[in-house]
Amino acid sequence: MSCPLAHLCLLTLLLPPLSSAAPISLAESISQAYSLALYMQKNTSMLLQTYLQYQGSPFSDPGFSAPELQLSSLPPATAFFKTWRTLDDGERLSLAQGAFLALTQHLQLVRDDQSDLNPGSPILLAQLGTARLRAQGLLGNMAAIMTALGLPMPPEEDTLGLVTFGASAFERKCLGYVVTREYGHWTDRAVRDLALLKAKYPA
Amino acid sequence: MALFVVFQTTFFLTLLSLRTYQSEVLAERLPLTPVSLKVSTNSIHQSLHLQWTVHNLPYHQELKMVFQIQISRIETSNVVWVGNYSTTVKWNQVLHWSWESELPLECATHFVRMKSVMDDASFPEPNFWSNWSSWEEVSVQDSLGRGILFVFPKDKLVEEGSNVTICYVSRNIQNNVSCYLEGKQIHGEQLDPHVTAFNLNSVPFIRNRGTNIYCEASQGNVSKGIEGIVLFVSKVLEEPKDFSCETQDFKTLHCTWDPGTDTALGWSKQPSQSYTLFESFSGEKKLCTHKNWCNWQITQDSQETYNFTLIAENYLRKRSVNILFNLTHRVYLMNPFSVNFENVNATNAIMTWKVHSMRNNFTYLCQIELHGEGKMMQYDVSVKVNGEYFLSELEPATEYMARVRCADASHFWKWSEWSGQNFTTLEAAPSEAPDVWRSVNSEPGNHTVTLFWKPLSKLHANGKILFYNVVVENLDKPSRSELRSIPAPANSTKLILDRCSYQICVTANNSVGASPASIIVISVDPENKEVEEERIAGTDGGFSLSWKPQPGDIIGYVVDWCDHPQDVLQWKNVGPNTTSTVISTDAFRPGVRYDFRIYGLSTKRIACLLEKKTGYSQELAPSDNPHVLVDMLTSHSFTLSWKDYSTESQPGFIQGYHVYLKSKARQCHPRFQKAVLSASMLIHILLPMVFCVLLIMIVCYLKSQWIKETCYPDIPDPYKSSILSLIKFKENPHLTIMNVSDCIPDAIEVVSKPEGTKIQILGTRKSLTETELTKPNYLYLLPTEKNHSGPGPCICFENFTYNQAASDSGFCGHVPVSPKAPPSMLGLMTSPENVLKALEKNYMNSLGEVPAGETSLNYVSQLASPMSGDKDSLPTNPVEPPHCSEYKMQMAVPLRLALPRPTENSSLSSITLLDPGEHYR
Repeated sequence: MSCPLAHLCLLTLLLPPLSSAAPISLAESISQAYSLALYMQKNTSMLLQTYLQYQGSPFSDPGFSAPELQLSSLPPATAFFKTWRTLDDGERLSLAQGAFLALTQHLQLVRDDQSDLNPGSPILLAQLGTARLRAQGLLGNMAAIMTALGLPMPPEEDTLGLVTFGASAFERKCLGYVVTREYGHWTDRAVRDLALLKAKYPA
Repeated sequence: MALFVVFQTTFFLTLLSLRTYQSEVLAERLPLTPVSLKVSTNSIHQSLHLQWTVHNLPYHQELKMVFQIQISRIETSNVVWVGNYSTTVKWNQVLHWSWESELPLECATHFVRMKSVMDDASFPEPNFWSNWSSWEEVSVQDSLGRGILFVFPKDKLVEEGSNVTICYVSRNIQNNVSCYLEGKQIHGEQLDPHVTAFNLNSVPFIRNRGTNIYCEASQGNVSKGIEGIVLFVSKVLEEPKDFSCETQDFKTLHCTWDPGTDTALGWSKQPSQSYTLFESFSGEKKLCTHKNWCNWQITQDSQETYNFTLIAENYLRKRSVNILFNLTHRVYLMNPFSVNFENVNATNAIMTWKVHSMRNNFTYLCQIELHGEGKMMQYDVSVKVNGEYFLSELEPATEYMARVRCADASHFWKWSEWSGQNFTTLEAAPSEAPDVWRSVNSEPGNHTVTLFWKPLSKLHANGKILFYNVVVENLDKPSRSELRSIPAPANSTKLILDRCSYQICVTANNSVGASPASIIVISVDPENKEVEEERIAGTDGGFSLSWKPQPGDIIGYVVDWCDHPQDVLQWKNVGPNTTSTVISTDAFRPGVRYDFRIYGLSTKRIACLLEKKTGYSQELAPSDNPHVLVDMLTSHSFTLSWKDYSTESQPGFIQGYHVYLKSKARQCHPRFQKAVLSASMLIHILLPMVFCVLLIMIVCYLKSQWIKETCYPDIPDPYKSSILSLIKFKENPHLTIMNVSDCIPDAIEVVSKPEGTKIQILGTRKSLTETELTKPNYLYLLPTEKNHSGPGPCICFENFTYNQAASDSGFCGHVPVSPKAPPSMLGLMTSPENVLKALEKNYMNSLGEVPAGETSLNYVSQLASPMSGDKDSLPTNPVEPPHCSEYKMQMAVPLRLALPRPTENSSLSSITLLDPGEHYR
């Protein structure tokens, strides 16, 4: 929040078709997306810690980790290195786009849940809202790169259609944990994705 | 007859057969077995829902039946609940019944069966139970879906302190499952290899976001997954407290209460408790939107009595409180308005106000509070609509705040809020004469009279004092009175009067009028009486003064003094029967002399000086050294002269002066002698040669052998030799003569030494505080010797007035000899041992207790050889001089007995006669 550059990226990238009369170059798009991803990376662990702190034991216990908890509606960020490295730019960006699209929706769900469970926690709610906004910003950035590369845009899916609304409170806490955790993992992966692109398309 | 018998028999047979038929029919219809039993589950409420029908019921007939229901868990033989359910049953009716399970339904298969019996009065006994229906099995485990671990019940809402059973279902019995409540492991009872239940007794409220309970499945150290629930524990709903209703206008009832704990829970599990008002007479109900108050519209003017029930409700509990009251007994008036003050004068005012009219013929009780001058008065008054109260006995020229509140007089419920207003009373003439005093300076032909007065207190001024009138009237000859008007805030004026008697009247005036006059009379010769001044000792707290009672008509006494450094005349009035007072003020400063004059006031208002006292609240050591001049220097004598301290510059009573004389020519003991001289006399230190030399010669002759050993050892050791010769000479108190023939003086050092007042007149005095060390003031008569710093032989004179073990700066000592010591004792002191002892003692004293503020004047002989060991050059002297002579109290005169107080600028001097023939080795 304190980085004016990130604000600038967010603003420009949220409204790419309207604001840019002159189309920015591919290298600039990649550089902007990379900067935003790097900035996001700095705040992901704080979001996860803040989230866990509000959920009670076992989530708030020191060193809590439950890697076995996964969401079918959210693609996992972890991948074998070779598999990831051999992906072409389009596949790599497409996977990231799909993930961040799902993340924006899941972050909204988590925020709704938490505003119900923890109405008196403006810090957590603000961080969840900010994370969602940044994920949307990164989506816009990546869309600009894909357009510049002449790649087809992946279809928008309503990933949350798969989420059951009758989940219990504990399940929703778990869901929020997985979402905030995967948000961090996917941000890490996006930094690596964009670093590859940056090297490939230098300014 | 036979026919009758046959008929009767036939009738009985028929009746019997009918009866038999009815029994058969009932026997067929009685086993009304429940059929079509269906059991469903409600996971949220953890309940089993049963529905069934009863066959063979008579058409259009209602029958009362009892159903016995059995519920088993896990297996049919494990019956966990048996109970009866009574109800009326109609033909073809589907019956419903629910049962709530303690154990979450997901954790165990349940079995249900029932049987029934007719319990209706239309069917006579006996009634028989039907057969049991077949067991109906209920299992929801199959619908759990995929997963290895499940924990139940999910999101259950319970009240704090209740008992809760939770359970888990583990699909894989290889997994080791541990469960935790807020991070603390809990232990349960295994129901079957897959299911374990935990009974949590009296669950506590932890937070409104719920209590996490989770289970972790693991194999070895590998976690296979966690699953949990949030148990929402609600605080117990409290009964509303302090429920009451009141009206301010007979249109609305305002009801309030203390809601107690808010039982709201997070995740919308339970909102805050709701409150509903129900009035039983009207049958109306209102859901309140606030948690601690509610307004009720009064619709019927005729309704006087209200019976309110306040119902607090949440998902778990309902609590209610009830109040019954008459509307007119719950009147909370609006605060009064139009508060005003009329006819305000110096001591009275009329306060008026209005009360919001409620209903006709209401009488109100009003309470008035009057605040002013730090006091508060309270008055109660009964009024109709317009209130009025006469406020009396007010202080003039004073701001008051008056406020009023009212209540229904016939049925006191509570006071209204206050309504207040400020007002100020008018001024009145000052009520008391100003306290006036005067000082008189008599000059040839006239007196200069300065009048002083103290400002009147607010209590007596009765307003702002604008000016003071001074009327001077000549008492000796008829003449017109002279009026002077002095504007405030002046507090003094100066009058020049000729040598006649005058009466002076002083009044203080404000806008309304003048105060009573304060009268003093200046006599023809007001301050002519010579009065001796007495010294007194003050304390930190002030001065305690007493005086002799004055015969005659005395209307009082006045003590006056001047504050320093402002030089403002202060005075204190004392009643006629008092002859002592304590003057205490923070203005008294240490080291400042205060002069007190005590006057008696005659009935003619003439002040007569009775006594004078002078003293210090705390004496201090002199801060300046006396400025000493050395004069008339001969080979045998010199004169020291100095000016006495002026009275003002004395930070304590100067008791005397020390003159220290020491030689620096020889290496002698690090001591010298000093003479303490009276402060108030002309000190003429003259050596009466005959007396002193003779005495020394006698002493030296008698002790010549010893002197030789002591003072002229083969290897001279100045630190071993010491001789004292004490001469007491007090025949001429104006003359102090000091024989210093044994010394070769180097310099004369005059020390002003704080001796501390040892006044015994007025009892105890505080001892002198530590005074700062005054740098000795050396007068070097031989400048060439100035830098000599070695110890030298010395002569020390001490004023016997004080037996104070004071000495000078470090290397000098003296012999303490009481002035009252008999000659024999003096003789003893002259013995070498005693002298040595005394010297040692005083040397130690001088090292340890260096008195401050001493000035020393060192005299260096111009004639004596400065060389040590110059034995051959000694002039003819019958007795070999001692190595060091110390003269004690050669001249000492009690200061106060000997002389009157020195006048200012009096010159003091001391002549010291030196014998050039006697010097040290």
